[in-house]
Amino acid sequence: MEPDKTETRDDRGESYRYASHELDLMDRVELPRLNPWLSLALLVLAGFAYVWIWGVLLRG
Amino acid sequence: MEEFQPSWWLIATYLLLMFGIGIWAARTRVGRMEDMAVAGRSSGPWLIAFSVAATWINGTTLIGISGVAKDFGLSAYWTGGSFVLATIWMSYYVVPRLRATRIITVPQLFERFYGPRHRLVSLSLIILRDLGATAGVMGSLAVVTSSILQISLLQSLALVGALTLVYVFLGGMWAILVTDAIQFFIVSIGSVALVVFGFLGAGGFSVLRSIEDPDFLGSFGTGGPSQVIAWVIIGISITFGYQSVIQRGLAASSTAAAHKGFLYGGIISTIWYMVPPLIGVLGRALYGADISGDDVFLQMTFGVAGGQLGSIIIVGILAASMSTLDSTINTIASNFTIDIYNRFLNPNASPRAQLWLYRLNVILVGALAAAIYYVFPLMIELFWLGGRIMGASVAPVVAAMVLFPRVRRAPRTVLTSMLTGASVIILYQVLGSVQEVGTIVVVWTIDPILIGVPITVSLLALGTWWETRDARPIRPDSSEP
Repeated sequence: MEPDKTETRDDRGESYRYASHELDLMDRVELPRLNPWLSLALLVLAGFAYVWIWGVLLRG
Repeated sequence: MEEFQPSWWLIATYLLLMFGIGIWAARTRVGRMEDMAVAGRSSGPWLIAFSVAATWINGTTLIGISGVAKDFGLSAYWTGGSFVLATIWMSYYVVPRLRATRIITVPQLFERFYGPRHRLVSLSLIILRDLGATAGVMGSLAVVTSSILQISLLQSLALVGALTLVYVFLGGMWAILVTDAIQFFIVSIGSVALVVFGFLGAGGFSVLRSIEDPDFLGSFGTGGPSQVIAWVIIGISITFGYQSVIQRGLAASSTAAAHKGFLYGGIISTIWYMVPPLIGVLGRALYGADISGDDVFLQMTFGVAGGQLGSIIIVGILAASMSTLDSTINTIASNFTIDIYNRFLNPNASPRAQLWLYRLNVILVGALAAAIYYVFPLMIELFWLGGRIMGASVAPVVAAMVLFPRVRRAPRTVLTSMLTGASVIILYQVLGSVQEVGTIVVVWTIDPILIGVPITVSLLALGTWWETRDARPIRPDSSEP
């Protein structure tokens, strides 16, 4: 994850942060290339694998 | 249970340590509202990681999930596991971007793109959820202290509320981050020790053979796939809008620190979350199916552990609950101070006035949560009633706003989606079909979240397409006109 271009301590007021030229600050932080919903599905599958492993262990 | 004598010096030492950290933070770290709400945005990744983990690990998860596991088996993992897996996902896709916006509260993000009306609506929905969660955690803490001290529930609520409020009042987010990190280690040691000594004392995993239900240790448990899928969707959708956790990322010193903090915290919690189900299935094997769900954990603590280990576990559950309670109290107090007082009532309030108003709000929120639990003492369901409403309204919208710039250009769609999703959930929770009202959760024929989330997401997708169909394309790093 690359650092974004907004790494400054925020000493300014809320009115400044609502200034129009800052509206899309979040888009300057790049997202991973993997599709977000696919990655979420993979994480859930990993969770099922984790539960399954414990089930196998407990059954002996 | 009557024979158990807790180690008072251990409990007293723990509480003194928490108060000491609160005093330290108040004297050295806190000078303005932003220090109280997001620790001056200067936290490193590991402090955030342990704090995220400690926020997810609480008394409700220990007592509640072990109780659910007693009935539903190992699949009870998903009542909490879905939250922490979603935390890992958020470490990549949501939190670094939110950190970059420099917001302090989630409703600020709504005003930033859509205006004050959206801010107020999102604020109401978030507070609804967070107050329920605060009440649920406070309740679990009160149940334990009530058992130890042999005092009434009302007295316990007053006691645990006061204990937690002191250090939040003094040190805000700084005190919370540091105490959370300490609390995480206490909880981990205590809960893992309970599982290890429990199985060792019972003769190993073979004790589970006394449970005859073949589904009990299966991936979908006795509740079946629909129940597990409902838990997965509830967890994911609530996490997307869980402001108390998101604020940890906003407290990070950089977007990279926010990412790493959430990633490490999510992984640690994902591994740990098997502990309460293990306590539950062991409790079922040792005490049978007839034991009450909310008694499983305490019975295991007093019966299996006992002695010094029992005292460590008691301190662990105090730590687990306090680490979540302090976070949700901090979040709601921030909302009251920043989103209502500063924004609408007194925009020119001095930093000192804001600081003291925040502290007053801490006390107000604590009292409100105690009153809610006293009136409605269903531990995990308190998490979920408000959580479902927020999870089907604000949460999908927050994720969409972060991932899809076009959604930020669709104010009418966003408002309609949030209000429709929330209304559907409220109506369904009032009128929907309930199978069973247990001591810990309500079992639904079809969980309300399975109705609400698809409606909200569909409205959001179709409405955004319709409302922005003539808008100019948005470049990823473009400035707004």
